[in-house]
Amino acid sequence: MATIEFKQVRKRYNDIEVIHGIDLAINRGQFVVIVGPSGCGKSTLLRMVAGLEEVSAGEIIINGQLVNDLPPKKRDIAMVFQNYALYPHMSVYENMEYGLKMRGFDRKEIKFRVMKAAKILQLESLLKRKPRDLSGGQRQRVAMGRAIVREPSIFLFDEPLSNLDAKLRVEMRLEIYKLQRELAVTSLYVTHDQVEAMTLADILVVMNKGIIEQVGKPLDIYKRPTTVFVAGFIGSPAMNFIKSTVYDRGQTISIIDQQLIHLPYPLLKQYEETEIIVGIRPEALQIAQSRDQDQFKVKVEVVEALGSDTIVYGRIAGSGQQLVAKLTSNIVTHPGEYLALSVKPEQLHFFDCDTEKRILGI
Amino acid sequence: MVEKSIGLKICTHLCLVIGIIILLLPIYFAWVASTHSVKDLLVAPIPLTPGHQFLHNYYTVLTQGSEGGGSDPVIFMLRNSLIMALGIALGKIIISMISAYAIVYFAFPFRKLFFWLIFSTLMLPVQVRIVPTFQVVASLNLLNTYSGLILPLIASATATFLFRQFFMTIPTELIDAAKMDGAGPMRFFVDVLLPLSKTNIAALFVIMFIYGWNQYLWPLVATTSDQMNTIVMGMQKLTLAVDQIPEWNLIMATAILALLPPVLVMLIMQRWFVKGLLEVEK
Amino acid sequence: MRKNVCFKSAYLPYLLVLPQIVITLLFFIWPALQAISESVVIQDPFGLYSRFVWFHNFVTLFTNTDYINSLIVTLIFSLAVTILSLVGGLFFAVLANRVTRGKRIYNALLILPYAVAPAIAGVLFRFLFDPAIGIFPYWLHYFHYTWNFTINSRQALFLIVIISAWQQVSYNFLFYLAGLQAIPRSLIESAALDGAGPFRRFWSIIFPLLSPTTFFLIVINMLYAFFDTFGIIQIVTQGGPANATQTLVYKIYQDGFMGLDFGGSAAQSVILMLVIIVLTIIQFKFFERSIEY
Repeated sequence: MATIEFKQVRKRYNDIEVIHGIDLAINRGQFVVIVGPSGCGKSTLLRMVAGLEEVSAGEIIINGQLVNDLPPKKRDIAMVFQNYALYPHMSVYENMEYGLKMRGFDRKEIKFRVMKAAKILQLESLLKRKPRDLSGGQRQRVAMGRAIVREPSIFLFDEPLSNLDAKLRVEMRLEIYKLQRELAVTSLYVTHDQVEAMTLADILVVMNKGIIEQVGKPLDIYKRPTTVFVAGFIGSPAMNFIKSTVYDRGQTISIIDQQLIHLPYPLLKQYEETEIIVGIRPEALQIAQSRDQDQFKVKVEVVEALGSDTIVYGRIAGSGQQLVAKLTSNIVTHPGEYLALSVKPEQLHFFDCDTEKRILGI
Repeated sequence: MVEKSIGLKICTHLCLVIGIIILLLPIYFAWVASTHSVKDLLVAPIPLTPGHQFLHNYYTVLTQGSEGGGSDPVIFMLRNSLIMALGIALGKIIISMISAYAIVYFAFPFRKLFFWLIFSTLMLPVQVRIVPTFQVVASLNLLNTYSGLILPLIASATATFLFRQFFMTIPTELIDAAKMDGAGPMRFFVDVLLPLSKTNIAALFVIMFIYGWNQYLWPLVATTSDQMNTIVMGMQKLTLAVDQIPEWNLIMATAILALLPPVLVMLIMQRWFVKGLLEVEK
Repeated sequence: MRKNVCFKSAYLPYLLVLPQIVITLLFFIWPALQAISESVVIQDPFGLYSRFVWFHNFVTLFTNTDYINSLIVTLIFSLAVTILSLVGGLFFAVLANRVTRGKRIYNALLILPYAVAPAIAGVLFRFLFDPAIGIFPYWLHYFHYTWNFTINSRQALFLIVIISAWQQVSYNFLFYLAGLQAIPRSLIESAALDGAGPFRRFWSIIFPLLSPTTFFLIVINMLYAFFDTFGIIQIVTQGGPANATQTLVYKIYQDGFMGLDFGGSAAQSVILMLVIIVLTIIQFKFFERSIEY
């Protein structure tokens, strides 16, 4: 169990900077998930913690010790790789014991630890098999086993589930979650899958283009994304963004033409007569209950009835503005029809057009 | 193929069988001749079927050599050939594997230069540099030594390339995993790379063993003492012995003994041989 | 090369490349440089004196009828070997690709000549074609054809072509077989559906698809005929009769070791190095293309 601290960490490849000064502190036993689109620098950051990449500038501090120049094997870290990276010529047992052998553990201790890990991961009957004789899920377990036998103070996960099919991914996600809570080892987990990120994380870190966009508890981030990027990245289907103008001393916003939303108090005073970005989550949209409610008309284009809910894709009438709504499944609608949708003012998100940052208020 | 007619099938097999018989006729006649007495081979036509002198002829060449040709017992030549072939095959594999390892897995100054140096050997086969190489080996006092026989043939750009290509197909995450497991570069080489290269090593071994065993010009130049003769170059003495009635039965017995080891190695390791030949592409 | 997957060590990589570099410098680069330097001097056989003569040795070579003869012999010889062994290899490959039963045995027998040393192949054929007792001259006798390659230069050249091609058929066979197996079945089937018979299919589809293999093999076979046939010539004809089978490599050996003409021999070596460099470049240029293809 360890703490990890990043201080202005930067990474350059031949003068091209890919990570632009990361500051982050991770507490003992926390499960931190770094999420972001591919190429955002999340894997590079992880590999720097592991010692597989050099730190170009700044400091990485583990348990109060500066580790910038420490080789991987002296960092007391174990890592689970995207393609598992099992040694193809070694059996499951040999794969799991290799790290311990390299560190000079005696055979009895090695055996004890490997058997313990095998029991936790239900690998006992597979110990003599070679990786090529295992299914994807089993390989994933072995990769986990190789990490936990080491009893390291930090776990690193580099997109460990992305090579599994959807069903297995959910299963393994649960197992990783349970295992991490059980072992209470500080963990850093990198993924591009926001569902994984939301479900696993104690602390979620959203990265984009080499910087951290937002850090926080998953639900806090969902509820109060601080930038347009985070708002669009977290949540599925993605948030709707509509450019709108503010009127009435900041108390009314005009979505399109006459379709207005009235706010309960003059929230957007300083944005009077200017354009802002309004964000509406698809799940915040509802069928308007009464005529007096603020509402806007949407022409339905595609309907996806998922059973649990119905997702409607359409355009706001009188404009090309696309909109996605996640409605309850009892709503029946067809392409070409019009729906009157409403949203509660407190479920709106406002962002500055220029900075794309959240406008504080609600 | 698309056609399934029986006639075409039989025709194909027939053509193959006849073709192979013609192809292997020289070896068959050598075998036949090696089982006859020298008298049977003095006048044409030579016999077309095996005789009864098999044991006698082979025993003679193995232990005494061909008297008339004044050659040494073939058994010593076989030993020399074996040492040279193994030396060349294993030596090539070892030095090209470790140099490929350095070139693929390390970033270091002059890497490109070394790469091109190794590459240049592709353009300098022993036949071309035969005279100056002889001079170099002579000045190093390596004539009539196994080192002198082996070393000038041991550097191989092709083997280095083969390993380089292979190493580059190994997933990079495996190296990361080894680093996390605490394995250094040499441990990684021994514990991971070596076991994974097994088939490549086997393939190269067959090709290089045959290459080494079948060397002719270099042993001819680099050895003057009879004790260092290899069997393939030793043939030359037998066949070129002037003013002698050639003892074809013994010459052919020696030839069969000379071609047997590489042929056997090739047949036993056929799978690797084919893989090796197609990948090494000389 | 590859991103960030390197080990770090100050001395280890040098230690690892050291053996190959030392051997390369000692037995490849040094002799090559020596050949180049010797090619521009004249020295007496005992190395007592030497004189710098610029390109005199090269000029001498190309005005020497022996060398020109050797050049022509080599060209005819290597072309004949290449064509003959390519045709043979392709023939066997097409047949072997058709069979399913006995495939392994056929293949094993067909690759057998590759394992036989050129010098040994020379001995085997010399015996078969020996003017006195050889079986082929004996048979040819029935057709009133006199065979004696030791005095007839055409027969001598023909014989070493046959032996060299015999050796190389196996190699070409393997590459053509691999090439044939790489041709997608669907292509051949669709041609069959278009109504093309087996021979049509071969010439209009299979053979063009094999052209990368053919091209590669032409270069390899030329290199082989140039350099690896020394043993055959030495055992069978010693370059005779009347230099009819004296190839360039054989001449280097004879001039260097028998004639002790180091300057001339070195000049010939330098020329052959250039030949190899050109052939290698052609091969690599072609490979770049074939990778895109």
